[in-house]
Amino acid sequence: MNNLLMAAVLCFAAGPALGETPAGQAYTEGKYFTAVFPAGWVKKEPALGLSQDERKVYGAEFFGPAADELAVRIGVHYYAPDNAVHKTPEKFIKLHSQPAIGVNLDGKVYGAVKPGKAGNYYAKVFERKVYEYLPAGALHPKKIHIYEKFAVVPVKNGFYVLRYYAPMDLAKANLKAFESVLSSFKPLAR
Amino acid sequence: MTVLRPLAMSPLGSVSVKGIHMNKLLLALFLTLPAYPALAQITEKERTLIKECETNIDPGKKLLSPETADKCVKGLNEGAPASLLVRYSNEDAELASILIGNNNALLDLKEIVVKQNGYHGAKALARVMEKSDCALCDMALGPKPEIAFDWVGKYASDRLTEVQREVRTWDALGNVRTTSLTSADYGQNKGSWNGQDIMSRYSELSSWAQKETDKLVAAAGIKGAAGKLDMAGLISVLREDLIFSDDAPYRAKLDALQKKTSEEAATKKPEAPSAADKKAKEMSAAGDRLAALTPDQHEANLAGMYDGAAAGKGGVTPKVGTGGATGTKPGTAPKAPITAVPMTADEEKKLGEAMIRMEKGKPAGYLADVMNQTEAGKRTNAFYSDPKYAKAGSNKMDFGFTREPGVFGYWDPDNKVIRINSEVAEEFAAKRGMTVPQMMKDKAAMKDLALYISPTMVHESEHQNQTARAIAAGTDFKKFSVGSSDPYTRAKENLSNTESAKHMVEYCAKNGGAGCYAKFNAMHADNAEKFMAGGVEALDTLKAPLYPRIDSFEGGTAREFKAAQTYATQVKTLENLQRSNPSAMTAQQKKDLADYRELMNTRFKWYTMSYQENAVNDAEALAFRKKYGTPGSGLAVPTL
Repeated sequence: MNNLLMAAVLCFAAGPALGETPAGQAYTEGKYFTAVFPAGWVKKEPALGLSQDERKVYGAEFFGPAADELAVRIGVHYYAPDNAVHKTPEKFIKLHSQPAIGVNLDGKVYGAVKPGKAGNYYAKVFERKVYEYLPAGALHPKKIHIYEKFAVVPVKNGFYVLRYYAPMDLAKANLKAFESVLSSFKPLAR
Repeated sequence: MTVLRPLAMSPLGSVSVKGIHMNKLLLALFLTLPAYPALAQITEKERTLIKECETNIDPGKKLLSPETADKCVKGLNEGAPASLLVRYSNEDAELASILIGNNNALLDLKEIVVKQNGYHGAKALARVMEKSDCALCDMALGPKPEIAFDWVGKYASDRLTEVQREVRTWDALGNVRTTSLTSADYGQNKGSWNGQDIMSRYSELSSWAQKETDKLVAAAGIKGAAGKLDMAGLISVLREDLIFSDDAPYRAKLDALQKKTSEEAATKKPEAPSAADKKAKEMSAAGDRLAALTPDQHEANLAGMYDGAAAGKGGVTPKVGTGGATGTKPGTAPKAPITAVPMTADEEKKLGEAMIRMEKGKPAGYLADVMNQTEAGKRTNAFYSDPKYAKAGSNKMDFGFTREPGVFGYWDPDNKVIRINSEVAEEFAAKRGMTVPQMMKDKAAMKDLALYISPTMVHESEHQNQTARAIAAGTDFKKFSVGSSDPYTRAKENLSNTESAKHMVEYCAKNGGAGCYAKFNAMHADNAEKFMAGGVEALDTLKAPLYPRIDSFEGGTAREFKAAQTYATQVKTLENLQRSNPSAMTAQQKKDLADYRELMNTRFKWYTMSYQENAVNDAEALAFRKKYGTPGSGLAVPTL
């Protein structure tokens, strides 16, 4: 028996202590909205392809803790009336609250669209459980369960989408972070 | 003439999406620019941006801001085809390449830190920090990962602990490991440990965990010793380090040890089981329960575990795929599934030829027929008979089946072949109660197999097409013993995934609608769903974690321009001489200047072409979604 290993056992500490809930980071996206995102979460720069001005979709996505190679994400985006991605809030809801290809394959779960609020604004809220398949291109990929929650806020000119995306293992623990973003949300383009 | 894509084959020659007018001719025009175009002057405003971008990547200034880097990359790409980058590269190729390379490196590092974690994140960091073409190292953000911790703390503070863990830095190893590793058995200390590269740290830990697993198993057999050990805690630590395939026997040893420990604890009636043993027992029982569940029960179980989600209530009832999925005629009872029977090499060859082959200069076979039903598929077929690529031999079709465990299919640029894993066909046939030779006599089943593998064919053929386009455009500066190509980055995966998704969506729009998606692999259909819900961006959002070994476009840009620095420096030196004292230049120096300038121009051309190509692809995808995203699925638009 390795004494050092035994000694190491004695040093073996419990998991890291949970810190207190930190204050959030206020974020303003141009003339479109303000919201308070969780402290320490990191904003990802936009991906390759069309710019925000070309899409006429403006917003930010913050990344939090990760599991199964996938990070929890909270995004807030404003869709201008003439945006190139989703013409109306109804179409956005249709494509996300139900299977976008019209059929539910592989046992995904779609919740009902319900009335709710984002900040002081009326919203349509829904949730779903979908999958990611890892690794990409595998013959028998692992199905990673993903929980998502959406709040769609129609305004006179365009609409907003607040989106929560989390691997199932982290979904419950971080849902409050999304609820905080929801409650802090203030649309500026109305 | 060099063109980006064969315009005549494209479903959309020009794309107009709500104010976006992305014309492929613009790209074609860009590609036909001479090496030294008569370009407009650089404005004062643009020089201010260049200065800001230069300051951002100066390690002495300690800015290195990813947000400024984003602004720089966008600003340098504005005004294509005569973008600021193209004009500035004509003036100072060396600084232009450093500006675009290093600012992209900062964006790439941010993406890796934010989006990747665990072993894959470690591999990605090793990829961008520890190789010779490390642009980050020029900004004091490598090659040792520890040197970048301050930067991570500044720009991604919440990820610092995770990054420290994933690169296995000494201070994040924890007491169990460091106490043991500093023993005479291992002789490590902080300096020697952090002096290793990232992957060596993982290898060392694997080796350490193997040895300590054996010791732990031995200790568990000593009467009285086991009770003094925190078995669950130690097993958990060791398991974290046994991540390689060679570690499998040791993981099995730990599993057995955990089971034994749990059983012993259960039989010890006088003593209450420890919390760890209780947990292990609960986990073991839960595992047994989960293993016994059918996929549907598993889903319901998960829904139940996640309280508050109201799973399924008021939701859409899952539909069952209709029609043809079994390859049997309507009304005919499907055969019971059998165990998959491996094909022989001869059967693999025959099946490949039955799927797709060249006949009279055109693709023929079940797969060619399926692809002829969609624009993306037609484009794939047409590629193989395009005389433009025939001269270079870059569009030769070599399709077949081969045994390649774990993967569905692939394009091999070295051997210039597209292959589908034989197991795909064998499992497909077995689900229909057939062997592959039996299936080859069943036309309906062969058609279904062709459809099933068609998204992969469209995807992989697009990769072959990308290489052919690069060769035709002269941007194939990556030279191999058996060929050449442009750099392989995730931008290429975006293009291939888009084509594959478009093929499925159009096929199903023409062949039975929603139910048709059941004929595809669920993973492929999911790509189509993501694409229809959010376009290319939705597909791309997750591609970093899904493709951990591939450079992002930003990372590839940083790497290529770093690797070209020697050429860039030569260009600058020789061009300075040309300006100051042209008559003093020797014939060799003049030739060198032309050669080095060409090498740099090729890289700027590749970068600008790829950057623009992705924007065009994005716009095309939005137009496609607009065309095929209209109801037809029977879904009602909810009223707000």
